[in-house]
Amino acid sequence: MSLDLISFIVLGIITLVSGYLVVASANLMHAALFLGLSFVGVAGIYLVLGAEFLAAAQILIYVGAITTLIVFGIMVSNLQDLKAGGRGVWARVVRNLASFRRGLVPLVAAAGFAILMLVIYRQSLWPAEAPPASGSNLATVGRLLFTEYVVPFEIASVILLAAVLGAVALSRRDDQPPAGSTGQAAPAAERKEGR
Amino acid sequence: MVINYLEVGIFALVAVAFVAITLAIGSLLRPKNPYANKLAPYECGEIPVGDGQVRFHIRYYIFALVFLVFDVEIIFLYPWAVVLEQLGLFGLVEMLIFLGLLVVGLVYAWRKKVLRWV
Repeated sequence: MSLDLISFIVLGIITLVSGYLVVASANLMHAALFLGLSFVGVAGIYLVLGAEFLAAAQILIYVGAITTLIVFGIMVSNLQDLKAGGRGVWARVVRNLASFRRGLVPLVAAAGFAILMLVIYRQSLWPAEAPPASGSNLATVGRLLFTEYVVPFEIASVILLAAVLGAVALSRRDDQPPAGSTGQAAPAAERKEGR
Repeated sequence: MVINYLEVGIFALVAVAFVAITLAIGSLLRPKNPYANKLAPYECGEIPVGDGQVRFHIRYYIFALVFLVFDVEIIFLYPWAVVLEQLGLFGLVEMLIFLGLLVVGLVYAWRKKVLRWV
């Protein structure tokens, strides 16, 4: 067994188990942190496949930012009703696996999907070859990104700008009147003065 | 391929093992005598009031959202830094345009006072 295969299997197990724990955890905060762990596993699989830039993006954006966003989302929402009893995760995993609706049906669906993927994998020739183990993947990405794909790169900047503006517009504080509704401008200004 | 990242794997293993071994040694050595007062969360000596998970102010969320955008920006700086020497002035100007557009967003957020903590 090659080192690549071993690391793929280990990372796959980490990803799948933490992915399962995301949906199985009673505590939403634990679920969010397991989601981060499963993102880490996916990043490791990217590394095994030789996609270093993608792995870095996965770590930085998904593990760093998306998980933060989800944790913040949990922190600002009301969680009082979502807490389950004190039973441990794995006890519930065993109980769920024994039940029909939460154990058998998902297992059958997953097995069907796995068989489908295996059949597809067996029948088609994959044109993809193993990437050259250059290690300078990042330089290739950079060279292409800043010469051939300059325009998409700059468009990405505009899209990100739109994202910032949208985020600001959505989470604007109350004392700023919404753009276009001039009727509310006066009381809003008064409220600002009152602070 | 993966052999280049063997150090990362070893590092991760050592990091996990370090925590696990430290906690295991601690749990083996320490005396164990829990009672209700000792198990209560420590809040500077006060008796804890309410739940540990409180609702945080929604204002934190905008910081996370703006951080996400600049995080995506940072990821483009990595390949840029690697090939900047080959690209020369063109690459520099490109990145300055890219950053400039995002600074517009930051200035907008700033002017809209969403970054102000009142």
